[in-house]
Amino acid sequence: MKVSIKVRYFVTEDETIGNEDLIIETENTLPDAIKTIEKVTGFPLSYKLNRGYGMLVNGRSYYLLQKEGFTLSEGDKVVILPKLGGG
Amino acid sequence: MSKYPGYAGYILTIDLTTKSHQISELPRELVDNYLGGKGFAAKILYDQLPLGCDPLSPDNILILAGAPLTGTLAPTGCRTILATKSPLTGIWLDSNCGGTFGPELKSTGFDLVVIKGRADHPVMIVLNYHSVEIVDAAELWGLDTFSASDRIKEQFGDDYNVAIIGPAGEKQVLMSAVQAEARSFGRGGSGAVFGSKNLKAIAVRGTGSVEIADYAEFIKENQEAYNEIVINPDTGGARPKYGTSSIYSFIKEAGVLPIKNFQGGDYEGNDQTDERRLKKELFEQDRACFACPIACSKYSKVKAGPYEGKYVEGPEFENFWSFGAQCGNSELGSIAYAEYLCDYYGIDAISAGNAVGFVMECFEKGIISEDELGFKAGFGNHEALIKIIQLIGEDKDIGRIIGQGVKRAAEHFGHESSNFAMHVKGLELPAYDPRGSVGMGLAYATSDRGACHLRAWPVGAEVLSHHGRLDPREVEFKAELVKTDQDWFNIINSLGLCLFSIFALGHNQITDLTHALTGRDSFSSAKKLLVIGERISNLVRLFNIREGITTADDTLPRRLLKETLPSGPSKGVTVPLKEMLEEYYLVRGWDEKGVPKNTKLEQLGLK
Repeated sequence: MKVSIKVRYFVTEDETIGNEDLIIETENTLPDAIKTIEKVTGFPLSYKLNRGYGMLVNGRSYYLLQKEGFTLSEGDKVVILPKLGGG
Repeated sequence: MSKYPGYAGYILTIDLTTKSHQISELPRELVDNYLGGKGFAAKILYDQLPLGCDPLSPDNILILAGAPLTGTLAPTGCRTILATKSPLTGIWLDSNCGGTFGPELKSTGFDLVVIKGRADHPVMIVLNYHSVEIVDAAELWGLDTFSASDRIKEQFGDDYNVAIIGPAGEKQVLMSAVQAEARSFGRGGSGAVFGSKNLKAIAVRGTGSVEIADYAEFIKENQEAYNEIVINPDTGGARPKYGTSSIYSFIKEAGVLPIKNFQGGDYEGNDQTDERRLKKELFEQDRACFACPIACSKYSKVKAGPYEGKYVEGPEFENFWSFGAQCGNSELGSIAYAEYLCDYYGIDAISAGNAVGFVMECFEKGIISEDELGFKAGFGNHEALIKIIQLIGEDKDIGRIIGQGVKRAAEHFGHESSNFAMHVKGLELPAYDPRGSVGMGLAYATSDRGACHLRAWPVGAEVLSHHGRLDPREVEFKAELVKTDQDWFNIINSLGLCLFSIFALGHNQITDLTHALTGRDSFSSAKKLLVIGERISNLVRLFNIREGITTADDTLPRRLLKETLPSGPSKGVTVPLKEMLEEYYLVRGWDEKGVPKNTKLEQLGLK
């Protein structure tokens, strides 16, 4: 099933890719969404996720959601960011 | 020259009552077992502070503690510790300050400056290389930190670095801070301890050098560490770009950013408030601490609106939150001005913003009226924010009550306001809501100086949850995570590095730097350093127990244990503290009352 999601990049790629929410249409599984985001933005998301980057869906880690068998719904918000320390 | 590479080699003890001082050699046992900085201060305060002393009496002790990597060009090696018994909490306090003061202090030839007694009139301490003067400071008393610091430099020279209190410290406001070259020794009220001793300032200028055990190796390790910091997406990307507020959107998106005194929900302008707006509307210039390639500090100037023309070095993430979301306030100019006022008066900006949010909730709940305040003070009222900070700095009206911290203010206001007085052990909470990261709840509850984000920082690992190992809502692994963070952070705070360095540098890199500098076998592995970190954790725990802390104090505000957030990723969560705390005591080798067991103390050489 196809859904429209909002994607935003924080902090390092925010000004080059995702200064505002990108509306992306994708199949509703997380692996499909990652492939679609890579295709639309040109950002190597799978590679980066294995090297310290994080991805939150509605504020929750993609890794946890994947374990829980989560599927995306219309309007879900995805944010992508490098591993950050405290302020 | 010091007997120990990496150290200045001497302890200076000053008695303000008799205006005398003595200089002694740094003992080998102190170096090997406690490393420097926080470790040194813990040992001295534990051994020398009279049991149960009033923190604002001449009996209390102030300790400035330098560290081996400070002033050596090791990246971020600039930090110094100010330790004392806190007048805000009545327990251990160490404040950690960057900038340039620490390296200059070390160049005076002293690793430790221990200040006792009380002067009979306002004084300042002037240190040069192995030279000590106690100078009259009556003309500086009453001046703000900026003006007084300028006067000192006019008198002694621009190359002096100054740690100084403002009117808040002089009036012994319990949330007052000590300012040092646009940086702060914050949290817990060290400014009030300066004030109680009639100590306005410490000015330092040094010409001493530091010996390096293995120069070639140290330079190599330094270069590698610099490279790691520069290529890291945080320390080389996000943080130079947005300062410490680089995590604002991340924390907000994860449902961890506290809003309106931890009530949650929304406020006007919340959607548009983030690090990008801060950069666009305020930031003008970067500033780095001594030997730091990150340069996370920003000079800001307000370009439009009611605060046009105001400026500050900041705002830091914590204050962006404390004067912003905590107060339901999106007026960026007021946030910058509030931070400036805290620096001007010498007030801890986390406690101040937290306290203003508390007053705003009291006002909205009808616990404090407009008649009592003299003005309206609902959430989002930035004029009230500024007014309350000025009153705290001047120790007047509502400021006289709230400047003593939210714990005491709640006792004063009554009407169950203690349920939403957001503190642990009397120290106000910083910018992370533990309902979005329950490990932060354990970190706050067990932090040695009260609610603090600089003793352990599990939230990053919890929220990103790489490979799904940690869940920010669950208790599993949180005890180990917090304990290990606490012990390692003790090492960082004893070495003189900035905590931000650890986002790029691993345990082994930091160990290699330390070993190349000092050449000491006791610092030759990360495992050995972690034992020192654990020793410091346990010694400070013993100090706090001696001062009356029990397991009942290892807790959180009722709001976090009983109330859930109305929306966001953390909706429906409360902090399962009891389970985490029991496991934490077990992992620490403490009994069910939170007291270190004899076996643990023997293992650490503390028995």
